[in-house]
Amino acid sequence: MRGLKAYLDDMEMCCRCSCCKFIPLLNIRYHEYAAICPSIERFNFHCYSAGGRLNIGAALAKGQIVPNRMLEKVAYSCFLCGGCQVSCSFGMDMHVFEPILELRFQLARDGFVPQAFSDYKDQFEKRRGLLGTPYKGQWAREIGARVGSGQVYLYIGCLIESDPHLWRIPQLLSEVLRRSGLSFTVGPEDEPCCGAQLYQMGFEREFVDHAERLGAYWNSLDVRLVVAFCPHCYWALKVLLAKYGVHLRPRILHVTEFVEELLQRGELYSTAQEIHKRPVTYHDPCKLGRLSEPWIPWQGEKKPGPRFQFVPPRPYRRGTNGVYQAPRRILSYAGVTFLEMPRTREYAWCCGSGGGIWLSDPELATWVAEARVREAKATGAEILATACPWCRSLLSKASAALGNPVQVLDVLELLFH
Amino acid sequence: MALPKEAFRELEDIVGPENISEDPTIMPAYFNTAFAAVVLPGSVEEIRAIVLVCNKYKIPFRAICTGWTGRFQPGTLLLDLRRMNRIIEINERNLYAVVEPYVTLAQLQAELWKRGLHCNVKGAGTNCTALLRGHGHLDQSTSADDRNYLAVEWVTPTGKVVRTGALGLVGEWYTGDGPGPSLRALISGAVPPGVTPGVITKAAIKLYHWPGPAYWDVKGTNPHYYLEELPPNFFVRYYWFPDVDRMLEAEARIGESEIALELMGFNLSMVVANITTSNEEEEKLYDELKDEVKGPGFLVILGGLSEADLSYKRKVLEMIVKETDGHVLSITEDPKVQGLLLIHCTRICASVRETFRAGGAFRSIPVMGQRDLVARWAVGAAEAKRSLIARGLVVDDGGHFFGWGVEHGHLGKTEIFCRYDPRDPEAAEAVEQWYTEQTERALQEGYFANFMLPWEKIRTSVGPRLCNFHIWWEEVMDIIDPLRLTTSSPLV
Repeated sequence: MRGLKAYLDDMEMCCRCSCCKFIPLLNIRYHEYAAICPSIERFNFHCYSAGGRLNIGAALAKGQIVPNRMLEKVAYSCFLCGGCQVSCSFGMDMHVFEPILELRFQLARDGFVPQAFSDYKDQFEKRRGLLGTPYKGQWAREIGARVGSGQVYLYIGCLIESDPHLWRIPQLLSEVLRRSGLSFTVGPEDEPCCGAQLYQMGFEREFVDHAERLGAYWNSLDVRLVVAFCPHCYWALKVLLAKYGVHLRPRILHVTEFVEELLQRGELYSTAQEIHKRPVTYHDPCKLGRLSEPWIPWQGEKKPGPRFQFVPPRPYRRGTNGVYQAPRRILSYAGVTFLEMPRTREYAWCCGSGGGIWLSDPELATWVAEARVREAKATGAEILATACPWCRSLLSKASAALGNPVQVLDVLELLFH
Repeated sequence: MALPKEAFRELEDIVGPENISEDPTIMPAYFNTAFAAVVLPGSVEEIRAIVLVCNKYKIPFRAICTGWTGRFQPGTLLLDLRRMNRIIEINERNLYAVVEPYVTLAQLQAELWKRGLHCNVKGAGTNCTALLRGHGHLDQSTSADDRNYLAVEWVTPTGKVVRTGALGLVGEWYTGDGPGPSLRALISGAVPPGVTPGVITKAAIKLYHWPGPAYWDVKGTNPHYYLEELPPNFFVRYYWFPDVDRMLEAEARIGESEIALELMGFNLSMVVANITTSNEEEEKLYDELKDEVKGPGFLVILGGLSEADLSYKRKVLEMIVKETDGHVLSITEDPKVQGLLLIHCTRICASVRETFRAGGAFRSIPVMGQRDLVARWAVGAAEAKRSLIARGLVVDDGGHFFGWGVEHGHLGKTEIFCRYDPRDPEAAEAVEQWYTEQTERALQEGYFANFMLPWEKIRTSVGPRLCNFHIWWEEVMDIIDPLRLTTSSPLV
């Protein structure tokens, strides 16, 4: 745990150029699809942009301001989508996402946190970090999938577990795996939650405690591969645990990476039939895309001299190595007519479900999702595919609210239709 | 200084409670200034009403567009024009676009390229407002500064709405200088104070022909974007010359022949900053190339309307370069580097790499004026910069300046800056001293006057050397802003 002050120099590097508000400038092709930050788009005051949050973070770190409810609103209306980090780091060498997270952590520690988030944390602690859903494992029982029958562990995540409408996604894959003769295991009753939501809500200390439990759990299993269906789980296991020094023995893959590998090796086949005739676009989930780059530990110090440069060179998370190709290749296997949205890959517009805002401000989350649905529709697509249950859920609701201009589906639903 | 409660209520009634804030915790995001409040007007009517409230309660006010930089007095009411972000019209027949203040150059440019049109983009970058006054990479073929403004809609400091040129007479945007009222020097002049009192709420921007595609088909993932191949009918090179005289001669002849889409007098360090993706990469590449470049130079981009047109322009360019003893910077013969320079220097998307990335700050002396005259001053300013480089206080860029011809060279722009770490007090002090000494030298030796000074300093030291312009300017201000509520409002 580093604290806000550790990023003071980064925060003071902000030159207020406003690049954090837009997709990387050279990729702007439309006036209406230039924005990257949902928060500043909605509230307009500069403090709701990444640059504004860095300015405020620096002032807070230096004791120039004291937290209040306005500051809580500023910090907690960020979707933690990471788009600002991508756009800023096209031109600058500085951390953006990390200090914004730290701002949230500090406010949470000081008691400035939405009530809904406090309630979530209380529930999380009450159930000792276990997945909290009355339907736990029911998706698997329905199709007869069993615990402990393979080296590949399907980690479904809380949202799919708790929403019967989403069970179809792991059920389709399980069915194909079986048909392909590939064994797998599913989570037991005491399967732990990944903790990604807790973390995004600002409860860093609580997440760190939970991370140890996660490490112990995953390293105690006799599995070689964990397949995360939810990008939030994937982010937690692949990135956050590494960030806090918890090493996992099993390999971690997102389900799209797993399926793509099998398809490339010829071990799975697409069952897509009719749907491929329809035009499809793809929404990159933030946690699977730009935020899923491997965590590179770094320790060092600033090099003497006028440059903001470090020894050893400091790595920046610019979105370069996110998972962008695997879901697109799956769509290619599915044979769809693929149409790219103007804001795509590392500079995709967030669906609105990041940062816990789905819980604290559902109206705001829906406003963001509706913008994405409109963007998808403008490509001429009839289907908006994604690879995250959170994105799928929220975008589906948004599409319904707009009169269903597009059908929202998971890429696996398209592949295994 | 807080607003009177009645004033706050009246402002709130104008913009709605969600568009006004006086919360002190948001002020660090606004230039670290204790503004009386920040308001987000959404229309000219709202701005006019706000200005009337300011006059009623004697509240000083300023407006910002995209708001990169600015210095403001505490207690000012800040009008953040972010909600005014509409492209009102792109008139392809009469070659102008009408925009509100928060339309960025990147957005406008994107829409223009689809129509085979183009606009001037300031060196600050396409992240800035399309209303920004200034200079940049494309000045050679798209003019610069206020010369691209046509009709303008302006709210005066006392709350009158003025529409200049044809807009004021017949409601058309095609000219700002008559028929109808022409107030160019007053509201958008490059002459002192070079800023607009009041608020510009819409402006028509002059457009030009764009010889390229509707968009660059950029490949790769941030920050490693690239073009797979250079588009047809484009040519990109960087040339250096043995001395300033020969560079200026080449620049002038290229201007006279009207062949260049872009002529940007980058120094080597700026070329390198543009094409590298981190400080480490930049420093390494600069060290590799610095011995190759033995004098000042410039980047040239040619854009042909056809293969034959490009061929002609290229022949002219190469002849001029040969006759002025120019040399190609070898790395710019690499098509990948050419592609990077083409996309970065037409979309002007990497300015922060050239300026802020290195140390977090830069101090610049930009001068609009006769190119060959100001370049001679810049030679001395560059020499002075070298001593700061030697002391390790500013980033090593060889101690060079940069600049370019405007409108194919009959005007010019010259600039020099020091990049440094503002957290280093010794560096900050040394850079400030360099800035003060070099601008003072420019004034004393008759090169130019620096207007980026407090008004009091301009009155006492600059005005008397420039026909006492400050006296009549103050008389004008007595009429248009008698309460002195808006000292200046640069379009940042």
